Amino acid sequence: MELKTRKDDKVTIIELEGRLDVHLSLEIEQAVNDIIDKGEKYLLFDLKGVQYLSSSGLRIFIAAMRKLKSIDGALKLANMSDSVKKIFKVVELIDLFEIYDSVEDALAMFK
Amino acid sequence: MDKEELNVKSETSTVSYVIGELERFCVKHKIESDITENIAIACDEAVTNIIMHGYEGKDNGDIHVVFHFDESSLTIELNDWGHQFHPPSEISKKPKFKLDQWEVGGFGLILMNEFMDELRFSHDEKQKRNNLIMKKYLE
Repeated sequence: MELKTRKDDKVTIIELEGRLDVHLSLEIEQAVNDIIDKGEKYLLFDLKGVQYLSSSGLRIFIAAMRKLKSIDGALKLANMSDSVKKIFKVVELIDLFEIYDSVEDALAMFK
Repeated sequence: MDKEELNVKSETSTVSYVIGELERFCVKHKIESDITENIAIACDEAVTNIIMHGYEGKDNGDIHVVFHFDESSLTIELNDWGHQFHPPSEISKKPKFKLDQWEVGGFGLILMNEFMDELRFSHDEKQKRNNLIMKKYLE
């Protein structure tokens, strides 16, 4: 699966969209893994286009964060809708991630 | 009173099909969109659990889905013939998550428990069938 990505200095911005159920999430998780394996250590997920997130979608971010932590990298999330935020809150993962209202805000925190 | 049934295979692409049918069923019965969203997440988690754990990701298992609507509630019933599911006696809202020790699973049950009013798991040993009934009260 090809993810929509762009670079801003050292940060790789990954734009996710659609319904992050198990089918799509397994493919995205593998694609993100490949990006990290290619040497990208600073990832910013832009969730503007994400309409729906199940626990399978949470795996994408947990797996990426775990991998990045082991190589001294960093991960941030931006543009999270209320319904996606609700899922993070219910499973009490909201404090595990750095979440920003916009891509610009998140990028500023990488600097 | 209304009822719709689906017979699907345990493919991961099945999840979006079942959720699409559930959302259509909710629209048909004029259920509010925020409630529909929550019910859809719970159903997604339940079907995903069956596919990934009950059938270990194999795509040839059978799943029987029933949506029931009456004026006071919406009920989703799921039947599968995969590995027997043993639900925990208590579904914790605090999984004591530690990034380094993270293993797959656990969050789905928490979301199902949060978004539905009743969860009833049972297993028919004779038919080797798991049955899950999830109910959401609408009043």
